[in-house]
Amino acid sequence: MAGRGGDVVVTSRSQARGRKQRQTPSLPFDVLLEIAARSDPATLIRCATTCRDARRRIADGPSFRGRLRLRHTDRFVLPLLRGHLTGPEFCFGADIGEDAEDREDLYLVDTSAADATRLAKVTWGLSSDLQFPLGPSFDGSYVLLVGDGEGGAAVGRPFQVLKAKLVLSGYNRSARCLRIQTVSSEHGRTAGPLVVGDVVHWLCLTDAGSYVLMLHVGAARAT
Amino acid sequence: MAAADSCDGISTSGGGWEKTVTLVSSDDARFEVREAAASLSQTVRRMIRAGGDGGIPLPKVDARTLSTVLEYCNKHAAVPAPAPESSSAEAAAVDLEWFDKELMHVDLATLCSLIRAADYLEVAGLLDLTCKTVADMIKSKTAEEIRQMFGIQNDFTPEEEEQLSRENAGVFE
Repeated sequence: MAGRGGDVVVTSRSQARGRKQRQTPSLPFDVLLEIAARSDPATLIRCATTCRDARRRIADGPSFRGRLRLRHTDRFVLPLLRGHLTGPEFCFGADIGEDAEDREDLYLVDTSAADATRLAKVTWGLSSDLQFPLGPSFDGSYVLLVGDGEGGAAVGRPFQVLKAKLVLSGYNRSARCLRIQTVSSEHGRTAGPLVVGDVVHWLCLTDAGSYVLMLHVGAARAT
Repeated sequence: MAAADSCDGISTSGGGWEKTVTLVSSDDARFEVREAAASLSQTVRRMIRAGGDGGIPLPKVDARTLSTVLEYCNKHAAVPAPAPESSSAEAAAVDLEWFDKELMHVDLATLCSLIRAADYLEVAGLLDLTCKTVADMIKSKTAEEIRQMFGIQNDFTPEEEEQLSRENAGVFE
């Protein structure tokens, strides 16, 4: 029960004794972080925007690092990306901006009940649920990518949901192929891998962990 | 168990019964608890080892909070499982879950007291339970609401806040 939380206790406590009294009249700051760590990604990000310490600790804290995040690419900037890749339920959250009019929450929840992914988009109390059939289902990992939008407008910010799986087969598992599906806010349909500029991105999940395969077409190199 | 032999001053009722220790709250209320239950608190466990007279003082926990903490400890350090029979073990787990849920039916202020106590007493299970409960409570809250709930000072300058919203990646950097 205390598994993950146990780490939080140790690491956060040793780091921030000195800051407690200023932050929290009611609860020690470390305990607030413990609470944040137990919340969903969207809430965690909101917690990170409450004050500087929270932001730094959540961004730096090793206990918060288990979750996936992707960053900048050429055109498709990934402002905030969070993913839970554990358990039967996948949950992603992105919380963009702090100003009232510039705020947006996005999260994806795979109910894993059917082969349809339930995508919930929340924009300041305005909520709309979209159902995206993802076609033939296969086990894979999901990732939510959020575009920065050209004019900086938060509402209507483009996003894509990417589902990918690395398939290993053949002797010594030498033959590899990737199965990928994406759903974008603009087309609402499934598509191939995510192409950003001349870089193709695949999210892979293997026994050893998850990683993003980036194929640089121009440079003909993969990372 | 062996460690308890060294703590002469602490009231223990040996014999066929389990050993007990006396805990004293900040407002001088005395609680006699089974040592097995009290030992769920790492803080108390260390104090039992250290020994002492007239009960273990817990100056940071008031009687009301301590009684709830001890209710939790008593339940969770319940009589050792009679037989590792799967059906009864399962029933016990369900019962324990139900108990936990009931225990968490309190207001935020009480929860915060419990969290502080669990943190100070180092009762890992209770800390986890209470933190999870509060985590559920803040789920749909905005950053400002979270600040108000916990008295967090917003120390971002207006420029920084603007930057936060402009550079969306900022929240993680």
